[in-house]
Amino acid sequence: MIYLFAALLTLFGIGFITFKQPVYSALSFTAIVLVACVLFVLSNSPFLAAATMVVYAGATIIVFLFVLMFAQRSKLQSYDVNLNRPILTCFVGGGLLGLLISGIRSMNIAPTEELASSKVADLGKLMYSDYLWTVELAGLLLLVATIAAIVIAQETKSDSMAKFEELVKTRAEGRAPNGSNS
Amino acid sequence: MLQLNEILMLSSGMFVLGLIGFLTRKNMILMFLAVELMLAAVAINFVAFGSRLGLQQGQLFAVLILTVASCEAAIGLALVVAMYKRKSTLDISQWDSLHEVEPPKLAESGEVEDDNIHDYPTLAPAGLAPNAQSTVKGGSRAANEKA
Repeated sequence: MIYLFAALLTLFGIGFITFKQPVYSALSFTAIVLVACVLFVLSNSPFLAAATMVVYAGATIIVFLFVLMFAQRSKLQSYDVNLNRPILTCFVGGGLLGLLISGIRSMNIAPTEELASSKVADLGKLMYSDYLWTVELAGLLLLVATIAAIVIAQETKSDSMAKFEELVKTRAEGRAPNGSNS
Repeated sequence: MLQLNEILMLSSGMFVLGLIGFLTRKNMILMFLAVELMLAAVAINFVAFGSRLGLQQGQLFAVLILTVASCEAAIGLALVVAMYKRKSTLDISQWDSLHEVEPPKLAESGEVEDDNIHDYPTLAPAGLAPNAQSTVKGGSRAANEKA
């Protein structure tokens, strides 16, 4: 079963890295997230699988696709076609993966005994009793991030840039009569 | 069912995929997606360990990671939009030298040049034949502009 997941991850991962169209890359990212959701289900956490599917494969990827469409050009861009040092990076990534897997293999983990599948209600009780402040803090973080995103995306040019352009304009207007005098 | 170490191997594979994607792609949006992939891989680790130990805290951590990831996506995309409005490209290498718009030029003595010395090129006024002096001046100004 691990080979099935590994094959899926490798397939979509290679697609994610090498597709020239950014939209296809984003779609293979969605496929990888779905594989991760299956892993969540296999780890006895169905709530998290659903949440990840909604948040990642639903909201996040849609927003990313909106921005991709917003910045879409008719022709393929050179920065989408060319990769940044792919061979060196693959060696680095492969080395890291080998290191991680050898470390995991040398770990002495007893085979998992069957656990009673956890209920969503237990997670909810934990979240809203023991970890209430953590959840509130996360909500506050989301609020702040929303405000920040609105403010950042609204500001098209920084004040200094606008000031600089105004300065150039006023000077060009001020210099023109001087040039006619000389 | 997958064992714990198998899930850990798969999640480390996902992490490495995200790393390679982050390092190789030049499109800013896809780099953000690669970072999201790495975050999801780490969340899988939390959930797998929590499930192995029979604790709910692993899932709680993963929910918090999900929250932080969506915050990061929102702010990152806002930044990407702001940057795209500036240069109308998503190429990350366009932003490898973030400096001031017009840094003050240093004169020979090392002093900061006075702003008023800057001379912007002006066109000869229409209708009048430009005399020799103004053409020479215009030529020197053009040379300054090129430099």
